[in-house]
Amino acid sequence: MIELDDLKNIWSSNIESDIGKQSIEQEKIRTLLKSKSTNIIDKVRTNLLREIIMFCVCLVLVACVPVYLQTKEVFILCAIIVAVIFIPYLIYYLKKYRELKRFFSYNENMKSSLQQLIQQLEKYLSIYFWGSLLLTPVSGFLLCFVILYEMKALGFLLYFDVYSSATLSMILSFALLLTLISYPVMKWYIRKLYGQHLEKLKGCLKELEEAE
Amino acid sequence: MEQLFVQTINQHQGILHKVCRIYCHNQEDHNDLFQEIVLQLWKAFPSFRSESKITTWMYRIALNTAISGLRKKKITLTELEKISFQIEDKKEITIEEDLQQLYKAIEYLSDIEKSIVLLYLEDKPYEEIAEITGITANYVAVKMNRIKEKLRTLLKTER
Repeated sequence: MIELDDLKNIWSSNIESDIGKQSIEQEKIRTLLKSKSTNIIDKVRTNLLREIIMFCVCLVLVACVPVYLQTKEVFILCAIIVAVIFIPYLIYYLKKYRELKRFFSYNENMKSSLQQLIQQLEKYLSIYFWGSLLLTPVSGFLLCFVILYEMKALGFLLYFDVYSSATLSMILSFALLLTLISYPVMKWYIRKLYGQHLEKLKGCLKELEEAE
Repeated sequence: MEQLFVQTINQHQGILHKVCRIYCHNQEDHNDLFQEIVLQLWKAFPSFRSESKITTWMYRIALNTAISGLRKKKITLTELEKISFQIEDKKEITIEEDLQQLYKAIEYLSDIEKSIVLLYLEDKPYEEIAEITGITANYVAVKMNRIKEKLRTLLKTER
């Protein structure tokens, strides 16, 4: 049976020649410095940037609705949505983006690096989940409203009052239904995106914390 | 600063290759991880204050990068017996084969165990392993005993 100290001898007598084949020149190292990182935090940061761009596009679209429909009620509704949902979320996303840009945990030992990394990822996944979930009813409601308004303007739905409480309740119910459907979908998507990786990191941390 | 960094990496690139060798199953993954470690070391280089040895610092960044990276498949423990049988079948084993068997056995360890075993094979004292991993030296010893047991099972072979 092979003994463990033999392993150390096997390693020390063979590893240098084994990795020697992989050795690279200084010029190649210099080239590597210009390559793109595949680090988890950099990926999250890129995703967050995409979210910010999407939020800005949605913000412009919502701002266009009152200009297009030109009614006081719609203007107030859109102003509330922008002030209560879009602006705070956009500020929070920008703050988070800057935080991630500065974030670097690898200088720490493995345990505390993992703790910080998990904390950052959990925070990001949480805001990503709730941000996307919040956007669903808002977009659903506005989209439905604009479609009905447009159909009425084109001469369809002649006896239909877009502003009646019954119509608004119907649109609201549709938006809520959309949110209910998107809840498990978002959960699945986030798990697929980073959830499994987060579980793996938690497993590593648990292994290091076993001693405590 | 770039020149100094490149020289440092060039001088100690063996550390990076060893980490890649332990964590990667193929050349493509090896190259990707090597590149990522170099990038992370470059990011961390301005904050290196010589409070610890340069090699300890490099191991810390390299292992953190390897553990937190998004890598592909991990061999499952259900295959453990299969490899054990393959090893037992061989009667005459060369040193080169010994090393390959060692790599193969290490593949079955968890990511944390891989870090500890690499530092052990590199003859690092338990205190330095503790400094890199963030666990106590006593627990490193406990952990190392468990890893040895696991490796012993995997490398069960008649010589």
